[in-house]
Amino acid sequence: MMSALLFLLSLAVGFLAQRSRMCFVAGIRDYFLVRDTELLLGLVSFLVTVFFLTSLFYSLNVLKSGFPQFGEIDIDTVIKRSNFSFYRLRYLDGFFETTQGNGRFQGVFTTPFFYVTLSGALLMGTVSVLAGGCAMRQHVMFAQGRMDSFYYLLGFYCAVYFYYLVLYKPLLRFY
Amino acid sequence: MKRMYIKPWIFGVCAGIMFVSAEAFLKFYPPACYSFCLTCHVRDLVNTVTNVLFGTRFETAYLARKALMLTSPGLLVGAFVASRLFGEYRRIRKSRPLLYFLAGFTVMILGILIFGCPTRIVMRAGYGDLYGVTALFGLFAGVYIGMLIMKRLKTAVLPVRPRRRIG
Repeated sequence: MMSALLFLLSLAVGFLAQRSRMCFVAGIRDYFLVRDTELLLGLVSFLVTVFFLTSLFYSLNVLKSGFPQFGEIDIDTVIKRSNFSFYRLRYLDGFFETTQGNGRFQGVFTTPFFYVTLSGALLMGTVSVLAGGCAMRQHVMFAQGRMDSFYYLLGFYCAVYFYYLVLYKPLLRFY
Repeated sequence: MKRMYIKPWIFGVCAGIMFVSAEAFLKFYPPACYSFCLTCHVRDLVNTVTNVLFGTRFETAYLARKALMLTSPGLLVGAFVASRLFGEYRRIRKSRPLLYFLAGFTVMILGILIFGCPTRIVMRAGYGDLYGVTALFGLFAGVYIGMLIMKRLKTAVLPVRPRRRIG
């Protein structure tokens, strides 16, 4: 049932995305390159809509999922004795302490995840621009028949195995 | 069929309404802000299938236990239907498969690390997650750097091969 709903949701999003040629990365790129704001307007309107709706729903107590945090992966599913889950659990505790004690910003900027996020998003933006679109746009372009995007998606799916079979354990030391 | 072009800001508003109300009314959580993300959902899909087939225990989000994450196939089918319906399906041959493969590879690994594709980064920023705002700033900076590289290489996107100089 839930998978069907998710499928329908993404079906509608795919339809709309194909019709509007929406791309989150290309909007920023076009603005920097030729000061074209049409796609950037899509990004900004998405941001503003989400902001207003979440504010409304939080205040109406409809949205009960809570505030998104980085430690959102369910801890039970991670192998319990692995270092990874342990570190992340401890990490979350520290986050809440600083939030209660010293205010929120200190808690955010002192965690290593801040630097991971910043540098990771930076690299992701660079690579996405060179590939010509964000992940959603690549899906849409493959559906339109562009074969380059097929190889992009191939890499997209293969990287999951690479991450969990090769990178997962070495990253535990740093992350 | 008549050509129908939707303005990007309409897409933004529709998608925002759909994602937030899907989370609020259809209960697409425990991980908050999880109704749409390509890297995370592909990760969950692949890991769920692998866990079922080989009995491994790769990590998945809590939502992946309740539902199969069919976001990426759904997006493909939706876009395919739209492009067929309006006569925009056009097969374009591959030009640089390896570079595209590596681009997808990198984006996926970074997406797993920072929990989000560009779409979800924007959505998290809208939710008020400070890490999402951070990631949005990082994305802007990264796009600027990528644009500078693009200007230097004088190519629109990766597929354009540099012409060989004659003479």
